[in-house]
Amino acid sequence: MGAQLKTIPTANKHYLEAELEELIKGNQVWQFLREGSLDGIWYWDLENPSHEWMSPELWRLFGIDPATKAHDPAEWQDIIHPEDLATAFDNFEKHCANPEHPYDQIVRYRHADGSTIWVRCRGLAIRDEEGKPIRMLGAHNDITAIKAAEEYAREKKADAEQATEDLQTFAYSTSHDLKSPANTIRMILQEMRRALKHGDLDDLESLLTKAEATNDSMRRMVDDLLDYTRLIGAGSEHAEVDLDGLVAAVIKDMAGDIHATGAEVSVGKLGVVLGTEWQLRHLFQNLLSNAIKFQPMDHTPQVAIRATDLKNGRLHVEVADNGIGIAEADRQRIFDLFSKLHRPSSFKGSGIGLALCNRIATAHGSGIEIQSEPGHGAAFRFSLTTLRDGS
Amino acid sequence: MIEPSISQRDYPIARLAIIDDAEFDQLLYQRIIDRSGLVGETLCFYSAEEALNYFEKPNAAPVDVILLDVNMPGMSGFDFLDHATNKSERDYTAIVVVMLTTSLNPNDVARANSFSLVKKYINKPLEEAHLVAICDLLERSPQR
Repeated sequence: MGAQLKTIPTANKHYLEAELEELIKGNQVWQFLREGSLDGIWYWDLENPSHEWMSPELWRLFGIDPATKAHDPAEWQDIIHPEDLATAFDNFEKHCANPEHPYDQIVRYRHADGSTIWVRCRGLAIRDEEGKPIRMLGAHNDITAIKAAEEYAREKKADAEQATEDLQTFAYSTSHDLKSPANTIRMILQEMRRALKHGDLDDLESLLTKAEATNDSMRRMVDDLLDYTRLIGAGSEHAEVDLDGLVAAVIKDMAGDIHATGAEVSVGKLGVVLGTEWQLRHLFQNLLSNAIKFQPMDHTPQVAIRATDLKNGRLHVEVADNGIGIAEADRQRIFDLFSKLHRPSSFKGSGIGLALCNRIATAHGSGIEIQSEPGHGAAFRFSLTTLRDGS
Repeated sequence: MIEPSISQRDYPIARLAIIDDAEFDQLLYQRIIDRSGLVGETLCFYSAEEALNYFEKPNAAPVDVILLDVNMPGMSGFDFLDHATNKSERDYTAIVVVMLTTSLNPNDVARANSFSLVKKYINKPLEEAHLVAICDLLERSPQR
């Protein structure tokens, strides 16, 4: 075969390159390149610009039957993204005027199923003896998978940046909230030393009580912090959870608090959901505890836990109370870590509970929404994925 | 307007307001302040709202210094500063505001310094030396 090739040896062309050029004149190699390394070929008659041959692969990439197409450039112009069509035309004009300007761009096509196909489209104008472009040869490469990977990497990077920022805020908040009681204890100790020097035992006693109370709140905060850390560290492992049983167990656990405040807790039929049991237990525990805690003096807390099946696979859950309510302005901030709306002497708490609740609810597919009229109670709402009809 | 009594005039800080939600801390500050002998009268506010209620009254006795906490339930220390600077009809510029906080966040320091009312940033706990430094600030203060 090699002997049949009429190669014209030139000074700077390798004999194999010249041989390959001859070979390409046969159909086999061309077919191989077209199908094996390209996702579409087009060849445009610039002297009759309504004629453009497009290879079957070009149409198949867009989920279109090549037999339905008539080699008219309007056919691709209809399904290319309008912005990218403008870019392509701009490059086309520049390339025709100046061969040095490459016809090479990344464009979006609309697939028959509505999705976007990303294509790298390159082309070369074929010119006559005077350099006037008379034909244009172009090739498509499908880069949709690369674009998807790029998008995925971008999303993950944004997630990672958000996580770093959260962690930094978390570290500052934690150090602040643990340093506060440490400072208080330090001041108390200084006062105790002074009281001891003056032999004032009554003062010493009262300072000791304050130190104990400060230490207790610090320990409570560390416990809550551990819960929170456990949650952000743990991936959710969702399984079937019987909400009726879970809420009954939570109420039993909290019997002491409920009895002490005389709270009336009513529970409707809840149903079975998909979730992580210990997280949901924590969620109901926190919401119930808040409902009982944030009450005016000498008020009988009334709490209603109820659910509505939304019939779209989600169960709408509500924990409503008759407590002090939450002002509109505080409704977002209440979910921030260590955010407290009330003075420590009015209501005890570390400011971690609701931040934790919101994280749990989010991990179960919805954040917590608050409906409240200050002074007339608050309702905390979220939704869970249902497994069986809960109504 | 209540004129400060002669005895109050004798103190470097005639009237000091503390705005801090931490009850024990307030009690302990009171002891330090009393012992220092630098302050005539101390007003304790447990929230920024409570303090504003006082300051916004037309007959409120003038205050020389405010010790202001940052992290508080309800209005934060920054909310207080924002109100005093941008929203209030009352003029707060004669008051020396000193931030007293445990916040270790550099953003908080920068934010505090962005308010011209803030003349000093102190990390808790409060010590007598801090009060002495505040007295120096007052002596240099152009309003006096």
